[in-house]
Amino acid sequence: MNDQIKEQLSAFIDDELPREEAQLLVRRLAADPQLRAQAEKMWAVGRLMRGEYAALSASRDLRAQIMGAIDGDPTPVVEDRTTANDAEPNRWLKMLGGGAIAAAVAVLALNLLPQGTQPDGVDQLTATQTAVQAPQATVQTAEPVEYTVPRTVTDAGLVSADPELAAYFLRHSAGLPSLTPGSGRARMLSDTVSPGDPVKVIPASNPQVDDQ
Amino acid sequence: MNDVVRVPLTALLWLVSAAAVAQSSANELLASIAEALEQASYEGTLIRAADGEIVTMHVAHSAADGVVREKLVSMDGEGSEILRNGDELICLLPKRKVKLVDISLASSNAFASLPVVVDELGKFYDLEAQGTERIAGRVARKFFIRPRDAFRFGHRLWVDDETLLPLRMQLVNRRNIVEETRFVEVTIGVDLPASAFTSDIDSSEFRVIRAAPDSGDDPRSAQLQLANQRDSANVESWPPESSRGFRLHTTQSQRVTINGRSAQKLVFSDGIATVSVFITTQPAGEDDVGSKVSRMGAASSYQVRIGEQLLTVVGEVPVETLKMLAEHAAKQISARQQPVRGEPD
Repeated sequence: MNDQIKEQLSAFIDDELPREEAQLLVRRLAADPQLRAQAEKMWAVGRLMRGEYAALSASRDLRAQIMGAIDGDPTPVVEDRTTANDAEPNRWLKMLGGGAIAAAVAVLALNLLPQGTQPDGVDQLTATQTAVQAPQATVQTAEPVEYTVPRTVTDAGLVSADPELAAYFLRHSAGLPSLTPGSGRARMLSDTVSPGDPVKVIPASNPQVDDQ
Repeated sequence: MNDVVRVPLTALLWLVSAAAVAQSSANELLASIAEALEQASYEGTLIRAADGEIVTMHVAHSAADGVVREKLVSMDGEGSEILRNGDELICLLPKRKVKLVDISLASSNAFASLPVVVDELGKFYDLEAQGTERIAGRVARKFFIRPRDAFRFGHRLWVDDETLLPLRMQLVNRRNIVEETRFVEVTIGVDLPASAFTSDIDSSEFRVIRAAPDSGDDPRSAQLQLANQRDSANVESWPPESSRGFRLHTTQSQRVTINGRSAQKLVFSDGIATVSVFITTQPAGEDDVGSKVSRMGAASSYQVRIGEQLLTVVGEVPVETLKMLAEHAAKQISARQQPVRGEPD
């Protein structure tokens, strides 16, 4: 994904993309599964950090509703996702009407769907394809500081994936308890399901690393 | 946000007026949180976000009759499960039909085992009590453990007012949230049946992989004990203080198996952040680049070669901290001119 698309997505999610561009982007999202997945992540992270749990709870009921929505009735899902923070829905959703809402629901649904939505044959612990760049989505919190979801490694800075290093990370994580800030076993578990390369190797001199 | 108060970490919890937090030190707060994590019974759905990825999980946890049981199920991806029963940890990866079994992983609790020293903590962190918020429908007291320098991350904690179970956690650097874990919904104090901790996956035909193969089926074999004794002797001669407040946690020196090689694992901590240092004997390969940095979720690693010793330092801390601890370990190895040698494959 190039920078322009990322900026468009970010503006789209932040409800700052002009109507015409938003319409074009929605069409592109409908045709590009990878882009949809990336949009969903950026959107979901933003919602998470704003405390909008409902969209991410992935309860069985929600999954069922999403599946129903994809089959033709998106309205209940959108309503169920609405929280106090969501009282004023994004402008683009209002502007673009039902079709866009369905697309947005589909975007939301993609990574909430259980096994089967991942490409077959991808061994996530040993995958060696180029890692997907982590999104940088500006989020709103009650804190005085503006936080962003951490940008980690740029494609340019990526040297290779090194699955062997995953063993070190897992050994380290295993020594931490669940649910602490280190999230020990929770991290272990999520590392087994995250798409892309488990470990991203970057040059030691890469200044972006120091931003972590 | 309401009622933000900053105090030295050594002062503290008279600011936290709830009866559940009657302790008078940060140590006791952390210990109480650790106890709640280990001893409370709870069930719920939580979300972990890091590195641009989000994973939703269901967790069930109990500590009946002195045996901790836990079941963690990913609701995304292939539906992996991690089951803990006392000291045994099983990780089921259904898509790959793999069952990982390790009895050395489960009996860890970083909070409980950390070398928490209030005075030391106070040198490197401030504690801010930041009022209350509702998390997953429960009243939570919010704390910010703010680092005083750039060698460690900050921790935001939302702790259940009644039980002290953490309901939401954030690992933050100067600008960003590095990692967040939070309950979406949770029931605390629930009496969970045994069936809550059994797998829903038929793993009868899974390939079983057991950790610690260097010591056979029993990782507490004589071979491992000898290696541990030698490691402990080496570790005891290390200066306990490295720098920037990270201390060597001697009791956690242990032998682990990494990619089929035996490694010595040392744990450093500043009382909150934990860094693992793995030392293996590994001849340099053709593609050996000397040193490299990598990332996995919120954790980073720094790997550097010292002769035949390969040092891999991993932790949820800034990379500069990893480099600092790697240099510290390298100095100790070089000074002895008798490297800590790994076991043969």
